[in-house]
Amino acid sequence: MLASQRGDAMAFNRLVLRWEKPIYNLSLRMLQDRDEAAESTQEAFCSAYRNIRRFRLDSRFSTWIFRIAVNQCITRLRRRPPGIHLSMDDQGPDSPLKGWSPAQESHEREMLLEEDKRRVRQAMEKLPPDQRAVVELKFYQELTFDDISQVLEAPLSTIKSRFYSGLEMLKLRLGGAE
Amino acid sequence: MGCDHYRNQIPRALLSDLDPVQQEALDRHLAECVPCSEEKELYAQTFRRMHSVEDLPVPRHFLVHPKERAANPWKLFRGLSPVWQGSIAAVALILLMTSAMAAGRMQFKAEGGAYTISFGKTSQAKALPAPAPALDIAALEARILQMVEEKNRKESLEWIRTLRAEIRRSQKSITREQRNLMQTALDNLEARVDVRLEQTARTLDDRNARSLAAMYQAIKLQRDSDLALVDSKLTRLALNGEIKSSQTDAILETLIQVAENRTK
Repeated sequence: MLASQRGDAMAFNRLVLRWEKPIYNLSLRMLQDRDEAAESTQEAFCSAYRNIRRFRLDSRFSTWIFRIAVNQCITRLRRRPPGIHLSMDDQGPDSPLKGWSPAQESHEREMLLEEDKRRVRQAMEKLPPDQRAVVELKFYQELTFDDISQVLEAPLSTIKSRFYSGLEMLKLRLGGAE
Repeated sequence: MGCDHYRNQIPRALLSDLDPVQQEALDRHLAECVPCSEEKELYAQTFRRMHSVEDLPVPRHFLVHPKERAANPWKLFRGLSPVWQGSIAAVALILLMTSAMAAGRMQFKAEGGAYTISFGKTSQAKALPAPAPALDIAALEARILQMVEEKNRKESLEWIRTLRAEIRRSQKSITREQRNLMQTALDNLEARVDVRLEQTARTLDDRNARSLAAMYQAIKLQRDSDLALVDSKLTRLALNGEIKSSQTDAILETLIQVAENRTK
């Protein structure tokens, strides 16, 4: 971090290589669109690099970069017109379902697994952005509630309330016969 | 405490967020209350489904370029090394002075150890020497920009080379999942090698046993043959009457012992 703050781009890029996968997947699950997630991720790292001197060395880089990335995603979600949801389930070039037809694949278990993932993505998409952010950071990034409180700069009780409310909605949509 | 209280605790329990006393109370309640127990199973299913969505690999690297930081010329200037900062500052000062001289017709004179700077036309009657030709500021600026651009280009190329090396190095490192897979594969390979070694050891033991048995049989046959030969020779000699000594039996016995010692 010291090297990055002194202007060493290579040192900062080492941090990028370390954190790009979690930040990209956070953006992907928040925005549910590959292209927008890639843009958001790049913008998050560029913003972090431009403001690297403001980073306090007594805090953690992960907290800081998660905060920037989540704010980027929430801003983009709020800019979307209401009612329009971009879905990652469209069979783009990288879709795991591209070119796959039930007639070719006889593994029923894999079909059910893909269906589960699709349902999870759809359920997450329906969560409000602030609840979605907390669920993402808690479930997938495995942060503690204290860490999430620092990332989102909100009180601990608010974070827990958002998380359990989001979880309740997910349970209503996902809980059922397996 | 009613079911509502315990139902609120179920997700906390699944996240291991309850203290032991609360956990125990919840477990006791769930053992008795079917609806709450079903609620817990719904939450557990939800957790399982959530965790089924794995991370995807990144489509590309999201590296930043050093020029990203140059939001304005002042920041670009501060990003340069002190030598370059000094050089640009000196050139800027020279340009400023030159511009001032050209605009104000400043004259600098050194007479008898004293230095004078004057502006505008002098009041002297004698003809002044023709002013020095003005510096070609535009050319100087172009030259400075060219030098800065050349330096930036070299730095960019160097940075790109270093970046590629870093990417190659990072691609060689393996993720935790790959490490676990490799470890599992190594463990399986080790188990197979152990089995193969045991089989080979058993096979070798069997072969050794058979070889020893065959060797023993061959030696036994050879001994029997030698003894038969000795016996027949002695019998022939006895029949021919060449040996009538009472030591014949002793000699025969000695020969038999020698033959037996040979086979041991």
